[in-house]
Amino acid sequence: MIKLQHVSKTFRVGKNKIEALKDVSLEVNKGEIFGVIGFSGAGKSTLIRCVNLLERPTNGQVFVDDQDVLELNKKGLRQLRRKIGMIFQGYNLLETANVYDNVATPLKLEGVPKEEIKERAEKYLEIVGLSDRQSAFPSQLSGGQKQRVAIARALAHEPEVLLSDEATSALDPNTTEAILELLLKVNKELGITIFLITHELNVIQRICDRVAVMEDGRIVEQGSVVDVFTQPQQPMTKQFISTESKFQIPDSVKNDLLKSGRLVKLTFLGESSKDPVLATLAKQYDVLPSIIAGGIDQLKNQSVGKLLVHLKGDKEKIETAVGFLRDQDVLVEEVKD
Amino acid sequence: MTDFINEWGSAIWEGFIQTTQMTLISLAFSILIGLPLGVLLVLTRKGGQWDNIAVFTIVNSLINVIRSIPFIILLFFLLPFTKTMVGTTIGVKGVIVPLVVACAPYIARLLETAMLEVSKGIIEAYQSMGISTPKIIWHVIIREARSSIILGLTIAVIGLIGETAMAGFVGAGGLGDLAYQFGYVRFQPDVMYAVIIILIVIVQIIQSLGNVIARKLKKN
Repeated sequence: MIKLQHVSKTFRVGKNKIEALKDVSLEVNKGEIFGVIGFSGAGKSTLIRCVNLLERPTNGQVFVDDQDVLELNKKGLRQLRRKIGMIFQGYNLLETANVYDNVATPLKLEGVPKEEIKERAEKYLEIVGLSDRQSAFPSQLSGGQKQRVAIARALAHEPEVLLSDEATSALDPNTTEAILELLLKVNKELGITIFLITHELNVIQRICDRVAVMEDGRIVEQGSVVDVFTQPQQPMTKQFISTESKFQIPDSVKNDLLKSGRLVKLTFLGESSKDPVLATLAKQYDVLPSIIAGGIDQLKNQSVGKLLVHLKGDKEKIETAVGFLRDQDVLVEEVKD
Repeated sequence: MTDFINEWGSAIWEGFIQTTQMTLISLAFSILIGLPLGVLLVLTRKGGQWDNIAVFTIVNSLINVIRSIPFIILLFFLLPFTKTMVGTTIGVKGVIVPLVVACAPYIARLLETAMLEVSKGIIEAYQSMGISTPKIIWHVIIREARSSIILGLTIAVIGLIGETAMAGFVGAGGLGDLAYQFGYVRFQPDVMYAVIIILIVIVQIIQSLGNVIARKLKKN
């Protein structure tokens, strides 16, 4: 659906060159939710803006629906942009227009017939749950409601793709959750492909099928959310995931624990989470596991359990026990000082 | 009081009509010229939709140059130009040209400032929906800026009324001229006081009207 090939973008600021994107390639498949995550300044925003050419790449190719976007003339580009909806962190609504007009005005400007405008505006305001606020002005709405209006406005063009530029970053956790639910619904029920960028791991976890991790203008890692989430390869990715994880135990505690045994982080996925493996360790391997910390992360399609476990016992026995855990498809990660 | 009205009423009324004429006609022309110039400034500036440093620099400097010249000097400086434009340099007709030349750049600047307040994000959102630039200018930029535009125009109108006072020098009449000719030259201060009071009332009404309209248009 969206294909970026060797895309780079260099900005000139005075005499300085800033390379915002360095040889980025990725592909977003039809019907999926693809997320790009990275800290601010990683180049995510530039990347998403290259898809509808709000930013023109310096090098590389951009395809949307197998069409080479960079070859389009002005009119062709305008046509294409109508197939690509976009929502923003700052909502970007007309302050002087009410909710209904915010959705209807762009359609009017595109020359959509009058009755159809009304039909579509009402339909999509219903979908985002704002049918009863049609005559309210943006200043009377909450952040979440404004983002809903922006989503309705994007959907009213009946696009094939929705680009989301940090759409939930300005919202509180509850509102973020509600907007993510809405995006999932848009993806499932309307079949709209979603390409989003975010700096919130939670957004990726909750709704994305695949993810790319960006650092300093490059994509350092990409793959299915489950893989990247449970087996992060790059230091950057690990850093991202650990900023979120609750396993940050004080050094003094950690050192004490390491003196009396080994510390391992266990990740349970799908099937492996059902058997009582820790009990087996104690019973069959003569190793005493004690749970230091733990939690369950809900990904889009499955849950991932994580445990920080202290293993006490004979060195060799612990070794065999860890081998057993690995056989059970549990990811084992040694925690050292 | 009655005597005063009998003696001066018709002269003041005539002056009022002339001032109104001069103000409204030059305002209309100034908007016609100033609005496109203001839009041009917004579009051609660095980072604008038609980023063009050459055009921007020319228009920007031209506006600064004209705005540097006091109106009374502009009025005389432009005499030959006025003659070629409207065929005369005197009367209401003769003063409209210099008024427009003075006011249009001012309006351009005021509208530019108002339009620059519109967030880049909303413009970008409309670009991302495939809306053409001319439509964005009218339906997004001018629409969103309309409240500030009205406030700007209010300032411009009040400035114009002040400038029409100098129209007397080319025989265009008006309230300002009346106050000057009778109140100062012929030493009849009561005429001057009457005109001043009328001008104060007019300016108050215009400013309040501008404020009310701007608030209504703001919608929040």
